[in-house]
Amino acid sequence: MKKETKSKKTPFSIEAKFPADLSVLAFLRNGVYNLLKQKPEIGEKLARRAQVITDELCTNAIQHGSEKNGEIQFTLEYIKDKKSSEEGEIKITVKDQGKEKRKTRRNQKIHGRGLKIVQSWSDKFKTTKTKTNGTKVQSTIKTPNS
Amino acid sequence: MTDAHITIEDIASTDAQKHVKLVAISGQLDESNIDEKSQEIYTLINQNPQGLFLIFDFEKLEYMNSKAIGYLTDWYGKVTEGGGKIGIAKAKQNITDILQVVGLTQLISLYANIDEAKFAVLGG
Repeated sequence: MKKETKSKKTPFSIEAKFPADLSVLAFLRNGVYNLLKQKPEIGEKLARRAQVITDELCTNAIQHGSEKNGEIQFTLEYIKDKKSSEEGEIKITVKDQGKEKRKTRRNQKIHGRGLKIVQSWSDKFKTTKTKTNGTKVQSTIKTPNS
Repeated sequence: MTDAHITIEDIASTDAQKHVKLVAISGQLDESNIDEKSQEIYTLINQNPQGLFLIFDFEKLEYMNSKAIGYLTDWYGKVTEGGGKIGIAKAKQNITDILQVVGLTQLISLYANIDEAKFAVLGG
């Protein structure tokens, strides 16, 4: 009987913890874009979409999932299929520490499009609660764009 | 705060009822700056509640987040309520991509250059 082997490998995986502060957003999203655009099989369009997904998920985690002085955990993975030189996936995972729920009034004309954009551009999208009452969200984009 | 700049210029119009402005936005619009930057456009709209025609020059706009799109949608509503129009010129591909995914390009047309936008927005 043949032993099952993993068919996927990780060309890179980056994990970062950063303070829940909006001032880190540009550095983080532009870093993701600059890293991914270097891979020709990913291309400009998907690198740009990963930039937006990073920004929207981290913004949500900072604003809705973190107390002041809280921390966000961010992971970017690029996983390639061993059988194909081009096919693979980009995984973006954002984990917050959770915060006490407060009712806030938001102008619905202005807010509410971020997650819709993320879901539209993700091939897989999942949200789970962490043990510490935080939220973990993960977006997966398949490459190349089909 | 992320770097972004807005410059507003008057465009001459033969119709005195039309207030035509060229709004050039450069840099990146995100959660750290959009609330503050959006006020410059709301001021413009409040000063010209009727007949405001806005042509956005996005040539140097590198990034916009979902909230910036929310504001753009709100400006569209206010400007059209006052009988005006909005057009976007010279948007980069990533900006076009995000405007398309939220369906905003069905409301606001995109143009390759300022002249084309002026011609379309002002009705030729």
